[in-house]
Formats: sequence, structure tokens, C-alpha cells
Amino acid sequence: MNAIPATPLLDIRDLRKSFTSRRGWPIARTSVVKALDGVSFTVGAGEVVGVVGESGCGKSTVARVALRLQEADGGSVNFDGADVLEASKIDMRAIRRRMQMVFQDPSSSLDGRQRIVDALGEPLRVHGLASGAAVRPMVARLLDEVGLPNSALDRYPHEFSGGQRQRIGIARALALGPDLIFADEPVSALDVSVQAQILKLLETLRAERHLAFVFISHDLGVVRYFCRRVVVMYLGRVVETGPVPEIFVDPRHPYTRLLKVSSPEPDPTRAVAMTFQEGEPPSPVDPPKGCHFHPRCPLAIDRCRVESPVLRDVAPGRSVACHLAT
Amino acid sequence: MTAAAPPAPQPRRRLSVLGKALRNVGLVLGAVIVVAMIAAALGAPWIAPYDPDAQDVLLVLGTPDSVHWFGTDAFGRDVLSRVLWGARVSLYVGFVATAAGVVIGTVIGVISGYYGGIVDRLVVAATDVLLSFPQLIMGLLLVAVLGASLTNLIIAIAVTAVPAFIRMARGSTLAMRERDFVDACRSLGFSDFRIMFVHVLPNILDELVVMASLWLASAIRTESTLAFIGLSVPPPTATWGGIVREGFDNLLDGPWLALFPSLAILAVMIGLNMIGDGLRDASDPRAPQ
Repeated sequence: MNAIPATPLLDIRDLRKSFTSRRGWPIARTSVVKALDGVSFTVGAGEVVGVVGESGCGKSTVARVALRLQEADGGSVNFDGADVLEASKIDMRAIRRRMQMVFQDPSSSLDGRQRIVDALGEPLRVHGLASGAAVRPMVARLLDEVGLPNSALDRYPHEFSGGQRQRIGIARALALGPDLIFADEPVSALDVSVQAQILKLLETLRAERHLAFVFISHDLGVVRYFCRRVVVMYLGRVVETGPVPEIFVDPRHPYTRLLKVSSPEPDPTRAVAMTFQEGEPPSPVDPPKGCHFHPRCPLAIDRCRVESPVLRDVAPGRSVACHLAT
Repeated sequence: MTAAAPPAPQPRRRLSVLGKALRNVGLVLGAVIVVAMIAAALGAPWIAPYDPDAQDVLLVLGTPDSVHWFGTDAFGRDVLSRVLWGARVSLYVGFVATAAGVVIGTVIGVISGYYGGIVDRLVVAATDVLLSFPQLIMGLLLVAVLGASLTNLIIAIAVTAVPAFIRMARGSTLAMRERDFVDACRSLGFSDFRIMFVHVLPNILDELVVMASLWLASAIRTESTLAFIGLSVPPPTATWGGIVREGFDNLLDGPWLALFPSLAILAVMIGLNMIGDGLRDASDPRAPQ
């Protein structure tokens, strides 16, 4: 159905990132959080891949590390043939033009002291795409593309509503003409009615500009609408990947099933198939041995407590990291 | 695509700060006092009725009257003229030293807070050591080592201001780093220099201006104190602290000698503190109108 091109646009392999913190007095203890524990997935040109999981599972860290906002501890990120993690400062500037990010909270991601024309014009000027009088019409075109009128040019971010601000954030990500956009929970700070508008906008942009997206979200409903393939993460690991309709109809990993039953169903009469242990996800500081999910899993067997399952193919385009999945 | 209409234009933030500032009586009053003092200092060569260093042996310790409004000192010099000329030195030292302290401290603080790491830790440690000295002791020490001259005085006072502004700018920069816009700038490929001084600095400027106005008062006070103990510009050049000191020697015979320069110092202190408080209130979005 969604054939993945031979060479993917973005190829993330075995990405690792730990955060250490030293706390305690008088003897400080070092605790290590493995935010990314060998994460791999690919994104084809023009493809929309959703990354879902609970908060703290490392889904935002994927984007931050791939964009070099934070340095990875290991693994590789390959973007259209270029090794992102090893790229020099100069190469990185070229890569950044093609790989952009939309942030969750648009009021925090825009500089409140900059008018919109300056905020969107600055990347154009810095990258030498426009200068002087040419900046303003280019910014106006960007605003038009995200559905904002020209009168927005000379306003400040605080004069806009949340949804309008997110449109500005999207326009800024588009300014350099990227091929891939990391969207980190781009609609979760917005009202539901506004969410739909922004999603529609992203969908239009995807079609018109042939954009690829890594769409990070905890909201399965949104992912189901917008994404064609999904990567499910749990405590720094990928537990299941596959095409959206199949994963939603027939989730193979118990965690994916948990996510599915915890998100509101269109059909409330449908029976919930499994019962799950209550409670918060275990602390990422000291994750359970073996399969990270076993303390919450109703199907767990002894093997799950000692041996950590690897991601393996179970059907064309689908992989699951579970000993019991078929 | 749905075109979202922007809301009706609202007054911009900067204007509203200015608007709030103008409605703040204390701020306006403080500004009037300080501006009047600066004007008097700048205009001293034209306003001062006499040469501040001209001695009149026939009129030693003259009481204030219509000819010498503030009286004359032990050398028969006109006190009003000396206070006006003294304002030039005192305010000049205060402004230049504070400006130097703000610029140096802010640059170091922003860089230190932005990059973090080992350099940041060293800067914080050095700042803590410098801040543990009382401002006056520090100034005293530096002037004693460097020697009393206008330049050394400015250096000494600036050095006491630098660590305070490092700490302030660093703290505000750390807070700004938590905001997504710094990451947004980095993902757009902006240089660190651009992010620090085009994006972070304007966002922390409000707080720095408030603190600078309070530090200006403190710098002028330090200069006066150092002059009082004889560690400022050598006589006969008039400075406020120096005139107070000369007046102290004749406190019983001519109390006006010490009184008028003290009043000038007091007025500037009050004015600058009113400005500082007013600016802080005006730039605080949570403060009531």
C-alpha cells in the first residue's frame, strides 16, 4: 500500500542518548536516564511517520537529537545520503535548510520581541535566500501559504491566538524550503477545533510541497488522521512499527493495544479486549529488566522478565518487539 | 484553507511599558530630579556664578546670602559653584563606571549562561568571590592599589559592578534557554552570536535596565564615599564627596559647607531609586496598573 522508496529520506539507526543527573547530598548519586535506547526507523520522501508513546518515552528526544539540538551518544542519522551526526558546521547549515522543526508551544518558540516579518525574514536573510526589499514579499507569501493575511506582517506574536501563532511557527519552518519537518506535538497545546484546522493545513502543505513529516504525538486520534506509518515507543525503545490502518485495526504489541484502548473509541459499545495493570509507566531512571513493559503486561511470561525482545518483522512493513507476538 | 483573521490591533508591548511608566508618578518625579541634576552638571560652566577654584581670602566661611547662595568655604570659594562642578565629576564617574560594568558584566553573563559547562562554573565561582567583598571595600582596595585618579576610580567602581551584572545576565539567559525559541533559532541554523545578542539579549534587557538604574545610584554613592576618605580625584578638583569632606573640617563654623553637597547626593540617590522602582513596576506585567 504505502511503498517505501528504496533509499529513505531519513534513516535513523540504533540511536542512543542518555541523560545523567547527579543529585543528593552529601554523597551525590549519579542516575542515568536512557531516553533513546537503540531507536531505529526510516522516513521516505513525502512520507508521514507518526511517533507515539507516553510522555517521557523519548519521542521528543528523537527529533532533538536528529536535528543536533542535542548530541547523540551513539547510532547514526542519515539524511538523504548525508551523515547528520558527523556533519561539520558548514554541512550542518545546508542540512538544516532541508530539515526543520515545528514546536509544541508556539508562544514559547517565537521571540516575543520580533515582529512577524522579522521572525520569518531572519532565516531567509541568514541563509542568503533573500535580502533587503525582497524579504517582505517572500514572508507575505509564506504567511499566505499558512492562511494568514498580509496585515500580520508588522504584528508581534502576542497579538495572535494560539492557533495563529502555530501557523506562524509552521511558516517559519517552511521558510527555508525543507523536505522534512519534525513536528513535536504541534497541536497538543491547541483547542480541539483549532487542532483540526492546523492538521488540515499540515495535510495541504504535505501534498503541495511533497513534505515528509516525523509527527510526534501522544494522541492516537491525531496520528490516525495524519500519518501513514507509525512508530510506537516505550521507555526509549521502539516496540512496534507499521502502516497506520493495520496497527490500529490489529495491534500486535500489548503496549500498542493499551494505547488503543486508552484512547477514546468511536464505538463505545465495543468491548475492551484486554485488562491492563493500572498505574504509571515505570521510571525511566531504573527501567525493568528484560522487556521494559512486562510489569504492566497481562501476557507477560518468565522469558519477558529476563530477555529483552528485539524488533522483528511479523508481516510486510510491520515489526514488533515482543516475544509473544506473531 | 481557512483564513484566520487576526484580532483587532492592540497597543504593542513596548508602548504599553512606556505608557505604564508615564503613569507612574514616582518614576516621572525621579526622572525630573535626575535630568535636572544632569542638566546642572552639563551646564555648570555657564550656570555656575563663580570659578569653583577661585579663592577669596576676604570671604572665608561666608554664610549663605544673596551673593553666595550656598555660602563660601574655608578658602573663600563659592560652594554653589563647587557643587555644580562637583556634579560633573560625580555623575561622570557614576555613569561611565556603571555603563562599563553593565556592558562587560552582561556580555560575560550571557555567554557564560548560554554555553554553560566548565567556563560557566569558573565564571560563577569567580563572581561569587567578587560579590562576597562589600562594594566599598573592593573600591577602596582597588583605588589604594591603582592610585587615586579619575580613570582608576572608574575602573574600581566598574569592577564592583561587573560581578553583579554577570550574575543577573547569566540567570536571565538560563531562563531564556529554557524557552523553545532558542532551540528554534538553532534549528534554523543561526549562529550562537546571533542567538545570544539578537534574541536573548533584547529579551533580558528590561531587567538589566532596572538594575542599572539602581546600580548607578550605588556607583555615585561609592564615588562620594571614596572622595570623602580622600581616595578620589585629587584636590582642588571639586567632587561631591570631596566637598562634604572639606565641609566636615569646619562643621561647627559653617555647617552649610557639608549640607549642600550632601543634599545633592541625597537628591540623586532618591531620584535614581525612584526611577529604578518605577521601571521595575512598569516592566512587570503582573503588577497592577
